[in-house]
Amino acid sequence: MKTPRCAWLPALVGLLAAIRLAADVVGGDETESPDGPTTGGRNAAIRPHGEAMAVWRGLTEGEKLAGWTVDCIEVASDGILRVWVGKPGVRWAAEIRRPGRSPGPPPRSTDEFDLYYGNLQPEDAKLDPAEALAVLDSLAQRIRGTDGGS
Amino acid sequence: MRGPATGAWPTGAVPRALRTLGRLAGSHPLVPWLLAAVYVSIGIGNVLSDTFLNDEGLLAYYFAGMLWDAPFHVFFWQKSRPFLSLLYAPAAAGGLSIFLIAHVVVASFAGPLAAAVARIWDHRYPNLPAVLVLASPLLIAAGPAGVTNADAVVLAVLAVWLAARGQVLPAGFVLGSLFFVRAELTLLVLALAALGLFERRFRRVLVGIVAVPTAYWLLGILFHRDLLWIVRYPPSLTSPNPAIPIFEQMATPGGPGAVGPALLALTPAVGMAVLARWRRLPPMEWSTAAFALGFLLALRWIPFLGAFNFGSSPRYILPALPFVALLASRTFTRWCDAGEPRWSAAWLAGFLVVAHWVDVQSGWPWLLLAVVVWSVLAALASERRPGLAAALGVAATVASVPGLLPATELAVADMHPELASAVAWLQDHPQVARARPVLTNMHLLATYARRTAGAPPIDVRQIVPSDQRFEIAELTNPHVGQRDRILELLDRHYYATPVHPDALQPENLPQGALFVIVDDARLEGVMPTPRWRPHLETLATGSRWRILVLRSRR
Repeated sequence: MKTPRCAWLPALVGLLAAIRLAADVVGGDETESPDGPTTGGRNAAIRPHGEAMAVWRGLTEGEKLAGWTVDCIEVASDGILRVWVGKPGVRWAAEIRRPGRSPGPPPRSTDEFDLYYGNLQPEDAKLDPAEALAVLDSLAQRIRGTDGGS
Repeated sequence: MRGPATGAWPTGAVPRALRTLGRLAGSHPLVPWLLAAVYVSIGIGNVLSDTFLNDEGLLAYYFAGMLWDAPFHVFFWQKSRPFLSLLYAPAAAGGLSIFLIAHVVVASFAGPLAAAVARIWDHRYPNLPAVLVLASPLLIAAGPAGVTNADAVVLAVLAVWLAARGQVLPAGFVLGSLFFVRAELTLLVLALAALGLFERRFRRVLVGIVAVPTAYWLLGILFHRDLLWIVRYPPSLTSPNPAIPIFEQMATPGGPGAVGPALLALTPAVGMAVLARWRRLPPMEWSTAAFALGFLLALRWIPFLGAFNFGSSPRYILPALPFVALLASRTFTRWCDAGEPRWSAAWLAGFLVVAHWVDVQSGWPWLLLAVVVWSVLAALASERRPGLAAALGVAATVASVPGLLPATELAVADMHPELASAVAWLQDHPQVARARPVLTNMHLLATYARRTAGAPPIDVRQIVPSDQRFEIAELTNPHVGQRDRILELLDRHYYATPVHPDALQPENLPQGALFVIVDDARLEGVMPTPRWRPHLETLATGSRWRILVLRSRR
């Protein structure tokens, strides 16, 4: 036995789903994460909180570090804190990790953290290691909370 | 009983031709084989481009190669997935590409088998499950990846096909072998064993289910010279090595946002499966449906309760694929026979709530798009257009494949971006990489450098993680020479020349040895930081990888 036609019911659900989808598209990538607003796409850069905030000591996006502009600050799911810095046409990340996660010596370190650099974008761009180390030095100073620590 | 399939169709030559074409595409027995041929062609392309190169797939290749070299030592090593290794041993002897292509060919049989089952179960469009199975993003990726989850799909639907056509004892044999293919398939064995208990004509399936493990156990006694070998040397560790942190990571279930992508990567028609009218299903179809539902619940939701855990990779849900596809096909059959029931809208509304939740949680809007498509199909069915709904469903499924492939978590570029960067660095610094050992914990480095990147030959040595070494020691029999033989076979059948944890000491390595390291909690177990840090200097660093050089001995 056939059921009576009632196409408007599934059509209504489909319409609601389409409206919700359209709201996503119109709203773009801006969304609120539990830790505050994100920038540069969903989950691309979560603002630091708790311990991470203490590490940055007020570091903000747009700030200059040894001539490089801070693009975004990311607390990655793998527990690594990344500070993305950039200049026109090139971008890379300074990484701050707990010691003991990697067997080799880090380029820079503080009492509590090891500092690395990497994630060069685009991959074939050139990054002068001295410039990268200058940024790490600047971050290390900030982490230590001093103006001129080694 | 079937009613008329359509309502007031437009008349004329073109609509008539389209209807004839639709009927042929939906039910002609050759169509699933054509689809399988397309699947194989795409799969071969993916094998040759290494798009889905996978360390678990390589492991299946190495196990099969080991069995070719030492049949008895490996066949009675349960960890080696002995029945699959036996199946693929000749292909593995021909090299990795031949092995992976053989794997794609075997996976392609899932489509025709699903169609054959649908034909026996009197579905209106028996070729529909074949399309849904072969256009599954997960199966498209798993075939050329070489992972055993794809074999599980084929064997599961093979068992059901045999049972459906009355060959109950052979079905039992296949089911009995599933214990040694993937442990999670025990749920399918239980579902069909329950059918054997309650339905007299299926009773002999129980004989087959018991016969295969029993025969394997009895034959193994001759090799192991131990009555209890099958429990003494199980297929996997019954309790993890407490010193190895990787198990903590594995015990962490994926977040709620992982469920939607995984289900759509299984098949975008998953919503159609829920709309099937379950209580009207014949007993065997009901059993397989119960398996599919129970399996998806067990693998994707039970880990949230912390009660039990499988791996969180989407590929683990693959064995449910043919039965989800058959349920979706049953929905279309019902729509043809009886129209679209009103309660479908309630299900669709539920899906909409879930899709909204997934989008808010993880910013993944694909499920919302799927709800739009499912609703359109249901609306067409309400308007007595089930054939058009099926055609649109197929078109949407096929069109969504490229967008859903990343959700399979099997593309090497997505899962191991460190490979391209690290290999590019080695290629850019040939004077550093040449004529010295390159030690690595990246399972795919040697294969990727040689096959994918075409890098000049480098002497890669693979650091054996302590958990793998522990497993080999625990799961092999030392009293009959099995453990020594397996360790010896590793020299030829491993990601690269193995370096075991006890041999990995700075003093044992030449100065200048390179380390290409990816972040992995297990590394600390074989390269403790305090021991190694004084000996290593960083040459390059990336997102999750580093290249280090062994400098001095202190």
